[in-house]
Amino acid sequence: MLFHSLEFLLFFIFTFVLYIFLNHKWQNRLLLVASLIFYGFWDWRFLFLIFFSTSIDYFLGSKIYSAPNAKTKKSYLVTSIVMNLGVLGFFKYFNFFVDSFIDGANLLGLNFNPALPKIILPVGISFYTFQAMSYTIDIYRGQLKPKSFFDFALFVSFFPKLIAGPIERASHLLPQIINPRVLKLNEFYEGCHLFFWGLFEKLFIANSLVQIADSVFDQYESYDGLAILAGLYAFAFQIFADFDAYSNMARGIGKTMGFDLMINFNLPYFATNPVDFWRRWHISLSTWLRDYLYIPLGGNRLSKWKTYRNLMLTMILGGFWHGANWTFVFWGAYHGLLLVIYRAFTAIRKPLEDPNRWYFLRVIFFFHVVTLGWLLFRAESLLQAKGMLYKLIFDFHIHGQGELLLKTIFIILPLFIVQIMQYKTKDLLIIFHQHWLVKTLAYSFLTYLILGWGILKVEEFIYFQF
Amino acid sequence: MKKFLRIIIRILIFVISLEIYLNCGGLVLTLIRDYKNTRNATDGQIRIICIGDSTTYYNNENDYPNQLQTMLDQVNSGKKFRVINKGIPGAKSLDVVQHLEQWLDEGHADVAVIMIGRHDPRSDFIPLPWWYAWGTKMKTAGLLNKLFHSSQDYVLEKYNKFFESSAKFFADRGDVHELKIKADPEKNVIFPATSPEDTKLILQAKFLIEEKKFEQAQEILKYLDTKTYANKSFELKIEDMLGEVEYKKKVGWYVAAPYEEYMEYVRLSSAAIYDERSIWNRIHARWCNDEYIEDVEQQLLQLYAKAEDKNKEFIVDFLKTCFDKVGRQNKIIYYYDLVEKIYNKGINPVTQENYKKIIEILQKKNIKMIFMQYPTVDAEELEEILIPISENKSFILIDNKKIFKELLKNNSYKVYFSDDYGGHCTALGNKLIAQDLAKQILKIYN
Repeated sequence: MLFHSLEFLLFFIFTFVLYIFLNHKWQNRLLLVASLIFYGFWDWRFLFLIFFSTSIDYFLGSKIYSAPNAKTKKSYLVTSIVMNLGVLGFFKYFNFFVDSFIDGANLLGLNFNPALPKIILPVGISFYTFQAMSYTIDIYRGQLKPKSFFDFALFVSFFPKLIAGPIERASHLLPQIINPRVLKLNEFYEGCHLFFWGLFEKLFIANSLVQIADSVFDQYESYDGLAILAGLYAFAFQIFADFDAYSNMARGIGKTMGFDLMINFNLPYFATNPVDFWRRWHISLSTWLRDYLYIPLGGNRLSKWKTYRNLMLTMILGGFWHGANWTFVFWGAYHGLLLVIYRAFTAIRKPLEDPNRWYFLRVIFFFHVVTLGWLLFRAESLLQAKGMLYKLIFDFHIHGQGELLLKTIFIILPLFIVQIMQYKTKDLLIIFHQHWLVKTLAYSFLTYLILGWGILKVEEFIYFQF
Repeated sequence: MKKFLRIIIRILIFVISLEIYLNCGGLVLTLIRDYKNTRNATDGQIRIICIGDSTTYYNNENDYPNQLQTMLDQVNSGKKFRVINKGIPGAKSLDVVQHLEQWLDEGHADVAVIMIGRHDPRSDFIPLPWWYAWGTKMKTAGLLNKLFHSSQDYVLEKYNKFFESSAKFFADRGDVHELKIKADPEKNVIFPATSPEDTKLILQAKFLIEEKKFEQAQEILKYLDTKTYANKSFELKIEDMLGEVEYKKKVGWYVAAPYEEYMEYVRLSSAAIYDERSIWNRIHARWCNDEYIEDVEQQLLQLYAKAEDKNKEFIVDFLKTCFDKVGRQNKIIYYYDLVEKIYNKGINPVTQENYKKIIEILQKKNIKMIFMQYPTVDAEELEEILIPISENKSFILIDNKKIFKELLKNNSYKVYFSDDYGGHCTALGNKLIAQDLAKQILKIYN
């Protein structure tokens, strides 16, 4: 069930109407049932998996809490991590490793062709596995006490964020589940606004850009440098709009029911350096990696080289999290390298006197650096990334195939204007906080863009595959 | 109360501004297109101006002027062609008359391709109530309508399994007859012949359902249901209609059949627009032979006397094609005339008059004329009108319907048309139009 489908509309209206008439205890039960229906709608077999993950993690969480000594605690934690990563690894990376193994064996001259099982990737597995892991790790660290099983199950499967995040922390979302929630009319409106804005980002921006990006990436041989640049821009904004749309919709749905899910994107393309970028892009994943991978590895408290190693390792694994493909690994390595270079660079140069000097130039420069990373991310193979890069540089004519670039600019223009407003006022809900007349005109304009120009096909979000 | 008023005002502002945006959007698109048209205008080009309504306009790479341009570019004729799209959605022939000279001058046109007339008022035009006319003109309403239909399609497509199984569930409980219709693959028709008497009755039941007289329809169908028929699928059809009545009485809406069958209906009925106008005609054409025809005519004329206008048209059209099959010329002409009287389709005096003016202007400016008829309309009539008004038959007439009709014998309507009613073509449909046009243009210049 996708957020922008008819089914979800009916599902949500039904759930919401029941929700407002129930007391807190029954609200939670309703949400759990609704979440399971929501997930089972994709494939009912996935429910077994989520039930398995949830119950094991819950069991291990309690065990860690009640364990008599540190050693037992640790062994339970290791079991939990191995189990979670094992499930994730099996469903997501099994084929990748086997394929890579076969490729390696074939390279060595061994003719090796075993029959492989066909494994389907359960949607959202990367997201809820990480959330369940944060629960056991937080208990191990003594930051959290075990809660009731149903509360924990709802935390893992809460339907707005189940499929593609934000990757919530137990310490942030669990209290909201356990304590009674207050429904406020203004929050409801705010939720509706977020959902609508997400709908716009998905149906108009992302769905229109996907056509440009796909055609450029799929047949890059037939385009020149200018068109490839358009394709790269299109993909950079497509992936942002697509993912931000989902996060906004999730937050919006949460808001209407009195939940506050975390902000996942804070104007990422306004970043001027890699550290800034990862504070703004997919915040819930980057902070997760920081807290549960980078810092346990030693963070930046050890020697210079160990810090660099930790950065690289964290980013490579972060890239690998996105999927079993070498391009993701290289994308992660690319960002790791950026962080390392930036760190080495800031260590030797003096800080700028005026931090806002040449701000927009720096933004534009860094946006292009990030976009180069998206080339690695989107390309089907490294060969394709190389070919496109070659075309981009050596087949670039300013009077080339400019139509795609114009189209791309036309599509991202509304998003661009709103983001500049959001940046200037430091208010992500800038449209919502306008005068009612302006707001009405804006909503109607966005509706016009969605219905008149958007692609209303119910297409999946990019991040579902991760 | 104040709050309520504020909500109303907001909704009003929302709708009005949406309407304004929609209109401005169209304007901007047309301006962009015109800009593109004037760009790259060089000497020595042969400039072809395509005039028409939304079927010409379309505004993407798949419209027929664009495809024509691509085709002409690919041909190595030693000449340079430039196609200019001047389609305006909803344009009437009068609009063309008013703007033609201006367009020709601006575009420096050498050839004019014209496909117009669909939006001209019919001579039996009855003014709609103002609010209704206003509503149909509103783009927002059109948008909502489109949205509604596409969501309907979405549900039908996605949940046909569910409808199927629920229908079965009801059928098992005996509440509603099973809805599934079995097609007869051997004969490739859904309904077999019975007798003219039954034809009349089942048609009558169909009309009664349309008029929401469910009790009476049910009575007829129950009577038909008591008989046994040589072919099982006719029985199933009756049961299906019984189910339909039952459903419509209870819930007000009805899904006729599982999706595949539903699409088969669409395919047959759409293709039949060409041959027999509707699936019913296709089915009942089985009675159109010397043995039954007199009887069928008699039965249907009885029905005709009592039918509503809409159904009258249907019956007469059916009889027309029926006699066409048997080949009784006098009867055919009689029913053709009758159809004209009821439906008044074809080219009306207004269009005729405007064509005259269009030809005058084109002849005065010495521009080569290519007229096209819509792929859903017969071209003969247009030809009859054009021959007397153009003095020396100095025009080319392209009969799109002939080409489409031939292809529709083997392919689904949806392959060539993007909608059921408007005659707007898909990319492939437009390609067919462009292909024929390209041939004609190359013939002129080679």
